[in-house]
Amino acid sequence: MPTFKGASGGNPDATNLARWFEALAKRDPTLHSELSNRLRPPAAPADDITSEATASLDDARQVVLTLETIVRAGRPALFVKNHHIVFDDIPSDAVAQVIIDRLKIAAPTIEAVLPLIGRIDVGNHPSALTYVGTGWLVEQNVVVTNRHVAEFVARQGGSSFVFRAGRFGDPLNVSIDYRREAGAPGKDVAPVSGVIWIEPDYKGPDIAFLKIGERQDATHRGWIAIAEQDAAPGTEVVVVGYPARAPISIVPDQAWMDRIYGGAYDVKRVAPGMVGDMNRGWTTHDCTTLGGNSGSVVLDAKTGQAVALHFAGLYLVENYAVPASAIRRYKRERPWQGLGSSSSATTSPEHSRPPSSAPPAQVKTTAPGRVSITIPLTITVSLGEMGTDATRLDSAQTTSLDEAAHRLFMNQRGNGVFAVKPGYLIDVDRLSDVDCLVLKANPVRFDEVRASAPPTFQGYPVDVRPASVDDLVAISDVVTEAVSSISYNDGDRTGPGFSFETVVEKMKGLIHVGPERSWTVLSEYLSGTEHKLVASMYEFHAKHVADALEKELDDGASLQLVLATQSRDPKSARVAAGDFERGALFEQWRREFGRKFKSVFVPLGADGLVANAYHIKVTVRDDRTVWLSSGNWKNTSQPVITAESLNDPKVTSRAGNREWHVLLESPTLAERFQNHIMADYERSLALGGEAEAVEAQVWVDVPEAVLEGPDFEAVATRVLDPLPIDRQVRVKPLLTPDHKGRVYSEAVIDLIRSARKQLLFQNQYIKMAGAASGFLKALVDALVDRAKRIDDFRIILRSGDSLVDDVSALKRRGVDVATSVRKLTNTHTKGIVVDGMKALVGSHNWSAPGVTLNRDASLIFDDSEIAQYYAQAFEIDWDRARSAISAKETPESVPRLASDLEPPLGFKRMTLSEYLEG
Amino acid sequence: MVPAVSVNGTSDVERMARTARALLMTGGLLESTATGERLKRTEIAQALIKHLSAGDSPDDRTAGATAGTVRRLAADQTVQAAERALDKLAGGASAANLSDIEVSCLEAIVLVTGRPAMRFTKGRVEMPPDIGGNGPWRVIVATAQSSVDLVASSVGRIELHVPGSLCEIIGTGWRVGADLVVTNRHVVERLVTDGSTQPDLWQIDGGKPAMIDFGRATANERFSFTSLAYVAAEPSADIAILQLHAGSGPFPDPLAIEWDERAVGRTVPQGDASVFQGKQLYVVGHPWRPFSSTAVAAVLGDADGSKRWSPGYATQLETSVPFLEHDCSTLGGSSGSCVLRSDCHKVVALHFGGRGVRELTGMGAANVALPLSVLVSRRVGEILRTGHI
Repeated sequence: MPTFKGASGGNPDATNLARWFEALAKRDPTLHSELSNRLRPPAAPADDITSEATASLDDARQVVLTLETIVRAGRPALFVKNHHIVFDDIPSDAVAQVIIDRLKIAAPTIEAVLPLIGRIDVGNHPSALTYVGTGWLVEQNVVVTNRHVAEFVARQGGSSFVFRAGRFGDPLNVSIDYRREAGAPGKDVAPVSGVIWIEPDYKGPDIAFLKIGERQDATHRGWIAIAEQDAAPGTEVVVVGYPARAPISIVPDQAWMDRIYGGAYDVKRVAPGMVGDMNRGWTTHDCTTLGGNSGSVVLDAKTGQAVALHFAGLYLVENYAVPASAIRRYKRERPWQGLGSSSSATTSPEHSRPPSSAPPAQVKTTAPGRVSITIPLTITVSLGEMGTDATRLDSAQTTSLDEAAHRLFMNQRGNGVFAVKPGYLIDVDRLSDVDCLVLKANPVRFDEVRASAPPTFQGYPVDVRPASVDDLVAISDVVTEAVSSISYNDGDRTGPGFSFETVVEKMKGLIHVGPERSWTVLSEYLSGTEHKLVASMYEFHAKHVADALEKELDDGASLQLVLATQSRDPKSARVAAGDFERGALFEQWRREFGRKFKSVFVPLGADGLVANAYHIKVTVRDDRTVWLSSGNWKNTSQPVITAESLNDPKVTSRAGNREWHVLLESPTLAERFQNHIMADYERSLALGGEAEAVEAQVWVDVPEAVLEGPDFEAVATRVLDPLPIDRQVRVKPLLTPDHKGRVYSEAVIDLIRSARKQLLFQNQYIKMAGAASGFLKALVDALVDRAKRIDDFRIILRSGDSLVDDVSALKRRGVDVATSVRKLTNTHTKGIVVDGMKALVGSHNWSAPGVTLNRDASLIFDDSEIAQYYAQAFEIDWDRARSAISAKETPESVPRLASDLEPPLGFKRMTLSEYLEG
Repeated sequence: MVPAVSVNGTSDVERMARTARALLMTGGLLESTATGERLKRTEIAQALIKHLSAGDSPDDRTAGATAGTVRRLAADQTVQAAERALDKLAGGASAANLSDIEVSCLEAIVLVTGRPAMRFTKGRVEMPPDIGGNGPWRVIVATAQSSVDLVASSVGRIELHVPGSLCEIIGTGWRVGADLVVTNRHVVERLVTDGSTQPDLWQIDGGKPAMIDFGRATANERFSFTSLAYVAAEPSADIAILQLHAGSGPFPDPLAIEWDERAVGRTVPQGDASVFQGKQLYVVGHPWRPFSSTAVAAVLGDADGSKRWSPGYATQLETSVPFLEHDCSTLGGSSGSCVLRSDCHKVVALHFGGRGVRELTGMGAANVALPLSVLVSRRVGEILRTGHI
């Protein structure tokens, strides 16, 4: 075997392909042997590859391509035509002969059930989706699919399930088409008349049942039998479903995907493969799937019976499916029964969702060895990302430490253990080089867990630490793949008015930073309004900002606000000191100022403008002047500092968050940002943005010591005055979710790669748990690569309860974290300075949704004066920042999900978003 | 085939051809080749097909395979004819040498590549296709759709319901003030007992009951009129005001008027001459005109009386005559439509006709409207400003 290296950005990477291929030798020697014959060694011997950089890349690429080709031959996804598997016209090298031979034998069995598997189509969907997944008949007129598929079209409404509203409030039109075959135009459609059941427990199987009306030809053809036994490892299976093109945010290497699927999507495919070991109670397989395969049947190739319901996966690495035994249990227990199941929209009082007032993190043992955990969170389905390390199961990639972490978690899960992660022992205030298994315990049950945890496991020391909020949230998440995307309207935003091209023009304004000059500059900016303000804002809470805006409205200016749902009044109706009552004041403005005041709350999710946060902070004044920032209109980000203290760094640096701001008069930048904000307003209205927020707030209890962090922080040595600009400036505007994060990610990767001597990175966080795939992985890869190559590489992150995990993950990636990573509690900026020549400033946090499907705005200045200004701000902070690792966290020093009516003594209750934003 | 009709106003046709060429150039749809200029046929044809099928009901769109084929053919022929026309003009031929259908094809090109007349779906204006010079209009719909929709909800179709006859669309009106509707005098002329008399003697004829239909999604969108509140006597001011009968539902919102004549543009010196720099405008109205030829209808689609949003520019302002010229596509039969400034959504003029209008299509090289700013000090201006008679 040649050595596989390089392959950065390849998807999947060469290691995955190689490991799968190695494993195949044992699991399927016949296929392995045929595929091996196809594998030709690369042009240059592996040993020579390192000698010359470009050659090695090309050769490594060649190896990947060769390997990919043979893997594809072993795991094809064949077309179906007229309910028959298409064997004709397959190029001789595209599919292994062994596979064809086997499939031809199995064909009569498989083809008998093909007419029972269909594509779940939807008409009139607000996001213009045309189909949401796959489903198959499991009883007469009953189709089974995934929960996350059904949830695209239905939700719980009272005690039953109802279809969601379609475009412009019209009804959705949901149907199943048993054909949808490549090159065969025929249709075989039956309406989906209702939703019988959507499994409410997110820890439970990803399963849902739909009620089907009559086929157009009014015939019945039976249903697919469920296997009596769960499939044993090694069982030959086929997955039948409708793979959909995945967006670039999920599969960055789109060319790879097109090679695998020959560019044809949305049509019925038969993908052969093999069942693997059970994992977390799910069946696994290695068939080739994509989003759209969600809800596919996994058929035993020999019997034609269903052995599982596919619900999630990562190409070759591992695919998950609900096992036959679980499907049988639903068929037997019929949780929906007794609720008039004959009606089209059936009901479910006996198994309704846990009430939202239920205490969080209830952990109860339901059967020996099985534990179910109920956390009353609204979990947004992650878009195909693999989960946290704790739930990562890609055995092909694991080192032995990963393997041990996985085993320990399987061994200890439940009973207060939320995750086990590979980490390093902490030596006072730094990470040692000693590998350990970090067992993340529910902070509420910390002592209990620590007492029962083993001191070592498989030779590794076990370190019990309190779980982070991320861990708490992740434990109830399930890795899913879906045809999902947000309802952002890229297609309407074309032309120069919406462009992201670099702007070069004469600009005038102030480059400035907070807390010292946040409000002095913003207040001047607002009071200079002549006729119009168009503003986008994540959190608008501060009364003094509202007062300033009201003054402009009083003076006759118009104000158009596009706000995140986080700007609504808190559900508790407790308006904090210094804040204002948003609902009441906006209503008053509407009355007093009529159409001069407009506002909208941006809707979220698949039917929303963005995935989970409208996180941008940009305002445009009088069509000319842009204010862009990392900070919100909150007292932490826009603190009022008395005039006499403005030049006292001891006072200013403790007044609030470190923010980087931009204020520039630039008609071109202003036009583009204003067009996007106004288009956000219109799109939000069209998507129903006036409606009340649907998602329940997640409340956390945060230790007061954490909130008082800035007071303990070393003060800044000096106040940084604004940098006046009045000359030509080169700047590139960046927005997400434009092109699903591509606009931001590609530009920032280029920026990072351009660093030759110095790279200064300051951000709230780098959520390494989300960096296993997608754009965040590509960004982190680029950052880590620079860390290893340049002399002056430094990172400042905000302190937070997942910081140790993230820093440990960076260390494991090879970053010298002891010298190059520090923490500063009040860091809220999200910036990068490269070689004193270029600077990124804006609102993009480094999390998976933060760099893809949320709304954020940043600017890249190609301007040494501006870059050096922000570099000064970084140096001031670096001097006062501390080691990223402090004394070990205790249960009392980390936040926990709110459970009782009142927070425990020494804790303060706030929403999760408030905690994460600071 | 359409009989060859001699085309009046040759210079207007040439002007329209220049507009077509400019729009095609803006969108990169015109390529220079060794043998001359070639249109990017596929893109334009696709936009034409979309335009032609826009008025179809959803059923037609799926079922009408034949209609689809017809449209594809019509679109291809339109593009070829337009290409031929541009070739002729480029070769020095005068506009008089163009066949009538060639001129209509150029008009169709203008309509889809830069001066669209977009329909409303459920009260929401449709997005112009991403082709030619439509960029600015796409920005307006993307960034201010709700404002356009709100304006459009105050614009209605005036219908004549003579008992025993079919309902007839006679023009457009739009709401102002307390309970008033503005339209053209020549529209109101259809409703009075004797239109041949002095306008100040006109009386609504009880035997010609008229309604205005604002076409809103909610019920109660139609209202009748109680009286003729005002008719201008001077020939150059083609304006009349009707008073609405309080119905069972609320009236739509009154439109705001911009009285500043500089709001539509200004004349700036350019070398020795001076040129008029017009602002972006849009017209909302209910163009209705059964085209005299199916060939023309196949090229331009139907002006079926449904509401349209037509963006364009002010091209000339003359205050002495007075008139405001604009290049928004009004498709003929748009009498009484309101002309608004696209940045503030305030009415600046009342559309009343076209110059160089061709009999065949009802479309002209330039559209003419009555600028409201010239009325400010007259009685009608006072009515419009106060909102009361």
